[in-house]
Amino acid sequence: MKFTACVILSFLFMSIDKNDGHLEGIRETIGVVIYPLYSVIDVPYRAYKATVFKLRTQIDILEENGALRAENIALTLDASRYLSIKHENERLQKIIQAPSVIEQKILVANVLQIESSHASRKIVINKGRSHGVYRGQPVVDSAGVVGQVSHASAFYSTVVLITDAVHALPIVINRNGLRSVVTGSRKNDVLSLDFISLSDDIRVGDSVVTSGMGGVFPGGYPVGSIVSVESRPGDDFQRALVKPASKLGRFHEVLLIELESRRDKGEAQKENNRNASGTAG
Amino acid sequence: MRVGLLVRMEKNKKILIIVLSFFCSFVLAVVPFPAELNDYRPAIPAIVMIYWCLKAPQYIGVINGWFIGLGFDVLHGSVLGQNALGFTLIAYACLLYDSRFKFSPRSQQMVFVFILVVFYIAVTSKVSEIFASGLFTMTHFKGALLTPLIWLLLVALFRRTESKDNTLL
Repeated sequence: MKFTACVILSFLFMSIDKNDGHLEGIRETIGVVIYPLYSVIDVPYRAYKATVFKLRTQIDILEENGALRAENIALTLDASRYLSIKHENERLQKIIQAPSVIEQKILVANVLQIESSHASRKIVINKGRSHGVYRGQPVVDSAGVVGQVSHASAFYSTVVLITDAVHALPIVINRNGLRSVVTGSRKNDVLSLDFISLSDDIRVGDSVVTSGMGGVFPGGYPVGSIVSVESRPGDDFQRALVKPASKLGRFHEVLLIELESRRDKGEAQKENNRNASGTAG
Repeated sequence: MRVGLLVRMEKNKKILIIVLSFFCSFVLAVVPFPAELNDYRPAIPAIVMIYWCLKAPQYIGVINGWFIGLGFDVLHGSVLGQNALGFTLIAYACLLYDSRFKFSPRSQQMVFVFILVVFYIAVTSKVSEIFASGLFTMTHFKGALLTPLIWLLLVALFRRTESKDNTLL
C-alpha cells in the first residue's frame, strides 16, 4: 500500500517536474537541508586552490604579471576603440530610431565543484536569490555563453548549460545574419543546429552568436563555431554541429548578466540595491 | 527510569549513525572524480540504502526511502522523483527478501545486492531518459561494478553496530 503510493507519487512528481516550475517550492524546502552539503564538498577543492596559490614561486608570479600586463595593454586599446564604436552605434541607432543597446549589469559567481547526474548538464554556483539571481538569468564566461539559471534558491543556483538536451538558444550566424536555434545534445559537449534549409549558406568555421530573440539572452554574445555541416541526400534540411566557445562551467568563475528590461519591472528593485555592492561594469 | 534513558540514547545513536552514513554517501556521490573514472563511480547512496533497509528496517523503509531519494534528487539535480522511485523500489525489494537474507551466506547476499543495484541503475537511467534529458546507455552500468567491494566495506564498517541476531544493535 505504502509502496504503491510512493511509486505513484514519484511518477506524479516526475511528470510535473518535467514541465517544471510547479515544484520549485518542494525543491526549495528540501534544498534548505541539502544545499549546505554543497559548501562541505567545495571546501577541499578551495583548500587545494589556496595551497597551490601560496606555493607559487616569485618567478611564476612575475611571469604571470608580465603576461597580464601585455594582455592589459591590448585590452585597453580594444576598449578605447570599443568606446568610439559604441558612441557611433548609438548615434546611428538614434537616426534609425531603434531602441538603444541595453546596458548590462554583471555579477561574478564561483562554480562549485559538484558532479551532477549524467542525465543533465548542470552546474551549481554560489550566488542565489539573495544576491539578485533570478530564474532564467543568462550566464556567460569570458569566452561565451555558458547557460541560464534553471533554479535559484537563497544562496545557491543551478545553471543549465547550453549543451543540455532540453536547452534551446536563438542564434544568428555572424557572417550572413542567418537566424536559427541551436539545441543541446544528449551525447557530448556539442550543440546541434538542425533545420537549416538546403539553400542556406552555412560553412564550417562560421562563428555563431546569440541573436537576442526569445528575450532570455542578450544579443551578440559568442556561442561557438560550426565544426561540421552535413546534408544527406534526400533530407530536406542540413544539419550542423556547433562547438561551444565557452568552457561550460569548467572555469572556476562565471558571470551572471542582469538585463535592463528585467530591472525595469520594479520587481527587482530591491535586489538592485543589494547588487550595487557586488557588481561591476 | 535509568534504563529507559539508556535505551533512548542508544536509539538516538543509531539514528545518528544512519543519518551520518547517508550524509557521507551523498557527499561521495557528487564529489568531483577524474573524468576517466567517473563512469565507474559506484552508486553509494543506493548501497547504503540497501544496507539500512536490511539491517535497520524499523528506521529505514519505503516511506523514509522515498524522502531520502527526494533529497538526493535535489542534491544531484536530477528530475524530482527519479531517485525517490529508485529508493522506494530498493526498499520494497529488501522488505520482500528480508526474512531470507539473514540466513543466506555472504556470497549470496552480495549477489542480491549487486542485482538490486543493477536494477536501480536501470530504473533511474530509463526514467531520466523518459522524463529528463538523460540517455539510457550501457556505460551507466559500469557504476555497478564496484558494488560488492563497497558492500564489504560497509559490512566491515558497521559490524560493531550489529548485535548477535544480525539486526542493528
